[in-house]
Amino acid sequence: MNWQWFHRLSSPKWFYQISGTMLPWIWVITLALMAFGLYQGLYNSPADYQQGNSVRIMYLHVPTAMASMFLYVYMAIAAAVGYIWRIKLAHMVAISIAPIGALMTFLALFTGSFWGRPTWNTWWIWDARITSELILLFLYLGFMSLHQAFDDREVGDRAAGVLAMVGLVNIPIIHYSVYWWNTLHQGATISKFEKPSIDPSMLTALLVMIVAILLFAVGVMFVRIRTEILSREYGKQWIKEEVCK
Amino acid sequence: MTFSEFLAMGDHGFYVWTSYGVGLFLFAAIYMNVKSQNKAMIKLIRRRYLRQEQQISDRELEQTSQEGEK
Repeated sequence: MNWQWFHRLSSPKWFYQISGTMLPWIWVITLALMAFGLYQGLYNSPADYQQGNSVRIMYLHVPTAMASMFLYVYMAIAAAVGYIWRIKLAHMVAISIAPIGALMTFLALFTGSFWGRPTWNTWWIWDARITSELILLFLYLGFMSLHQAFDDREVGDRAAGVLAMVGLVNIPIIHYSVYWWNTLHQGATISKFEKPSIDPSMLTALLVMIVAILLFAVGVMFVRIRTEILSREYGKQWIKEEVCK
Repeated sequence: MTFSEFLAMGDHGFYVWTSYGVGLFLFAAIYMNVKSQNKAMIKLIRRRYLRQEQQISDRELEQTSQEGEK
């Protein structure tokens, strides 16, 4: 079998060039989707019959919370690939995901707090879902500070990579927390197995915002990976050609 | 729906607009942050490459002038 395409995936040069052509499109599509999603979510969809207009926070809360978990899984996989096969690009991916993942986690907690206040009459509660999401934020921050704690960047890659892999155990806990424990946090709004229990215009707003925010995260991640490639591959001929053209 | 009703969001305007305000602000902030980091890195290594080339050509110039003296 021809594995050349697979090896190309791990080539920083290939990634640098392909991400360069993709980025403008990513930003344009993100902006268009976000504009439509915000219009749909803030204006063109009904208020909830119980929660009123505070339900509109959902269109930011659910996508950031989903992104925080997706990004962590992706970061842990990248770290594992880098750790096992010693692929440099994989470590660069992992370290580039951490800041945007931490930001998404923070926003999920923040918007959740501002949704909880009018809905549950409290800013914060040590509920299973909320507590495990807070632990996710600490995992991201721990990953970043552990990576920076070593003078040798490759040692930092591997140490932080182990933390990312161990922390993966938290992801199913976050996901199933609303089923395992009887908590204040409500259950899932959209499920793979049932018809969604939500108005179509609300579902449109939610899905569009999910795609927009995930795409935004990918864009930010790409720019960071490119910076990381430049800093680590400095000295290669192709970088010189890329930078001095 | 009037514009002030839209802003009021029932009586949840404060919660909704703070969430979206902080969210969009942080998105803009991280976007500008990664972009400026990228630009700074490109500038830094371009300067290093130019300095290297300068040193090489300086050395060549020195060698040719030394050969001329012999």
